[in-house]
Amino acid sequence: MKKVVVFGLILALWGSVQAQNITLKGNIADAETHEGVPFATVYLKNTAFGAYADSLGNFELTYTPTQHDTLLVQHVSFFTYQQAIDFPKNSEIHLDLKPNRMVVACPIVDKRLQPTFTQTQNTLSGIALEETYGQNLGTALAKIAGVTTLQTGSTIVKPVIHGLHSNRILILNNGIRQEGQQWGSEHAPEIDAFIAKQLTVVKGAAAVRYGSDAIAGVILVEPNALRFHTGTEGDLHFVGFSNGRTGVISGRIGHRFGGKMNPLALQAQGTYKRGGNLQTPTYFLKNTGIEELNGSFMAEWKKENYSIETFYSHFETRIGIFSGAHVGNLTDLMNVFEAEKPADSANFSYKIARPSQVVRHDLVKTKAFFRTGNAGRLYITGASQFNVRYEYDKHRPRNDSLAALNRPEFRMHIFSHTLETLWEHARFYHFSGQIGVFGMFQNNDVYGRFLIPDYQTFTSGIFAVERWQKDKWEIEGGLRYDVRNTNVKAWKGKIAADTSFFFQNISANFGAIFHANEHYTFYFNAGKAWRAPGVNELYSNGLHHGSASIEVGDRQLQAEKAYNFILTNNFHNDNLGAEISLYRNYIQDFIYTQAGAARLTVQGAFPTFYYKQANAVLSGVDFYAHYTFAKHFTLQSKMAIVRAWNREAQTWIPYMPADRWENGIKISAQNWGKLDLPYLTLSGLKVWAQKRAPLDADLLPPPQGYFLFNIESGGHFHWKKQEVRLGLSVSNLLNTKYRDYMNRFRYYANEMGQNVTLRMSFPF
Amino acid sequence: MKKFIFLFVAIVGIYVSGCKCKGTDCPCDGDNCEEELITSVVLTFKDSASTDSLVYAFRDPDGDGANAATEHDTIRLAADKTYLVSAKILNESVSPADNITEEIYEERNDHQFFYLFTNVNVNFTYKDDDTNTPPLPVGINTQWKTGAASNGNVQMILKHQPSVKDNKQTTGDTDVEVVFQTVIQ
Repeated sequence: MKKVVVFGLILALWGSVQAQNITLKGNIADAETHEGVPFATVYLKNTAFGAYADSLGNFELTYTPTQHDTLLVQHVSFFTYQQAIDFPKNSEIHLDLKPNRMVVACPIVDKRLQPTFTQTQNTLSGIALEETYGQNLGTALAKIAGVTTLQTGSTIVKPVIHGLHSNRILILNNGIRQEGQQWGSEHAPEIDAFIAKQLTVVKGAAAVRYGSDAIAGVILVEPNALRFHTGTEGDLHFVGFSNGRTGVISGRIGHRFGGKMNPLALQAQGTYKRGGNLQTPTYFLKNTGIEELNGSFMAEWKKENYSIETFYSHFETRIGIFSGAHVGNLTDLMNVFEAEKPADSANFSYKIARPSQVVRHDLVKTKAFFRTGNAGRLYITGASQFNVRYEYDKHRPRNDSLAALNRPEFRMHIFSHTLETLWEHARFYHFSGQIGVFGMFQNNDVYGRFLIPDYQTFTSGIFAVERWQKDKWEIEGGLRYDVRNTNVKAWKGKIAADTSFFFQNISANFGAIFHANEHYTFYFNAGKAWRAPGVNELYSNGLHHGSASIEVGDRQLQAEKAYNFILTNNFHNDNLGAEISLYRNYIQDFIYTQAGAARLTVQGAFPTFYYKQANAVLSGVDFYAHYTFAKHFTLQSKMAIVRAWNREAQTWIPYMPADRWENGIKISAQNWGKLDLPYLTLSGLKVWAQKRAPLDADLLPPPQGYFLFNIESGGHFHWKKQEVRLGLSVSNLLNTKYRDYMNRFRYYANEMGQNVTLRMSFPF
Repeated sequence: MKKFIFLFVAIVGIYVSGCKCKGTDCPCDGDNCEEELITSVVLTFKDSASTDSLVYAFRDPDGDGANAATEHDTIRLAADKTYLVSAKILNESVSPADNITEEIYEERNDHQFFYLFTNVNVNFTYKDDDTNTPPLPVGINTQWKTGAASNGNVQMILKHQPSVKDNKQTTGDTDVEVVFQTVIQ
């Protein structure tokens, strides 16, 4: 086994640029020969501090710490290795760098080795991730430029990448594609954000490796790695939010055994969250409480030539849906639109009544790795997921005895079983690569009022990725072929018989990275991906109480084909770090909804939306920069613009995020009294009104733009021997009244007002 | 190791067994829980001066979504007559059809029909009461006194007002809302 181990002593990642320097010491070694790897380049991605390893593989990197940095290790004979820098007090990190001849590593298989994606890739870890503790996954991801949210109120939040969401984004929870009812705009990802040690967003079609439907991007939720050395570690987090009087507690404990049991490591993690009615600047939102209970276990048996890992996670949440948003029909809807304040007023309460959602998600995963001689490595990953979703309407049954049972009006059960076999060939000259086979079976059962039918889906894919790397260039090409068969089961009264849908197509990817010099890196990626229409798009035919509208599917829909181009330019030097990314996504047969004639029912008229498809172009720019202009002072800026054009109807595509630009100033220092690495960030977020939305596509025109002030602050100190990490932040500082176009509840109520967050973490 | 595996399996087992639906969370069994679907509204008009009766209806047998309504009558009444009107609410997606009016009557303290007249000359009175104190109208039986010839519409609304019944059509949830074109001739 060839293995390069980097023992790093990483001391800091943020703080004042002019503050005292930090020294990072480490060693890069070939584990098989135990010889050092000489003359590797070690540097920080954003600040360009760098060093060379000596002939024995030892290096010493002195740098001034900044936030959000990534350690890169480069060597002609090895892949570019990268790792987000950890907290300063985590004084030891272990980087299992696999030799280049073995792999184009697949990050989901071994999180410690991530080849740089040729798409745009952004990572949330360290303090940036800490600042999101207690928030849901969607809100946390929105810290990344180019990622926005699609919301149903403030508690149901879905990530949007480059204007696309739901089925067009793949979320990998510890390497397993999250499979629930992700088609629904009010169905948030069923993942505990506290499980993540690192959140990575790959923007752009990453279909070849992860599955054909990832036409907008991939989100990697990567848990804490299992402990490397014998011993016990863990952390405990407490978070309180003033708005909703929400409390969150989360803990993690990990252990690696010693002696003969040394190959065994365990980890358990759990989170509990409870919140009550949220508050807008002028009123409470009735029935917007939340309760969440999550847990996960991980165990690994790791030897030189094989390892086996098992992971189990449970997610369970009960979310109150703002009752003012469940309206009867068009008349009621119009009454609500005209009201200044929702008629359904309330005071503060933790009670979760109707309407509400109960969602549970269980995931069991087993992954095995074997060394296949000197030729390469084999990974087999199997997982089963069970997702349950109950929706309770506001409207209780008329019949009192039925009402007393308090049953959900709508229930969906989906089982997903996935199996992937992946073989990475050993490095051959400058080539490395992998081939794989993927299969998935899904069974979906629906009970209650009609929205979508029962179905079974079988998906299978075969793929190969090859990467060539030499000097300043990394070039990658990949191909994938998928088939998807969906069998829709007959459903009483509504659908006459079983119907089968078969889709097949090819995905392809070509990308290149050019490391021009230590300051500039260029990324280019061209990808083709496709997505079979979802069962909701084919069959939807029913009432959404949350939006008082009817959606009608179309069984003739074809698969979407996406042709995606991205160009990213990354620059960094001592004071300035900046990245700009341009993209263009041409989607043939893009599926969207269009308003049609209101449909008359016995309950009155309802706005009706029909699924349509047309060729579309989505293009845009993501930008971020940070510039240290004086001692202790750093300017930060982040911008995202997306334009989506329906080429056939010659009109804009609705429900696209409006332009946004966030600017801030950060004041930081090495220490302030007993407080280490204190910082304070003041930022302002400007979101423009979405003027590029066809008026006939929506019930109301998009709301006005808005401007919000936010404050973030934090620092570390020691209480006796215990390290304490503190954070205090205020969002919507001025309690501004606003509504956001990407929130489905914009028809009914204002967004959340001021929210003060206090975070405390105790690592041990 | 064995102890660990045992413990792990036990914990996973506890979790998985805890994931089954508990008590009131369990939805109804079978494929279809739409016992409460309303598909049809039938209004029967009895001329108080004779034995003639007129029947007008709105029917959407497969409920909201799916296919459009199959029947949506125009109400045609004679001028200067007194009609006793009875409303009937049905679920015709099942056979035999479910008469939901009976259920509404049983829960009349939580339900009320409202009739809103636009451009039609009708003098409207409720002919039934619930058992609230003071009693409030229900509206299954009503009386319509027609005036001069006119042409407009009648909006019929059934509101479910659990424990909040207040004789106002803006309160509660809408069970039924149908607009009938109405001609008095």
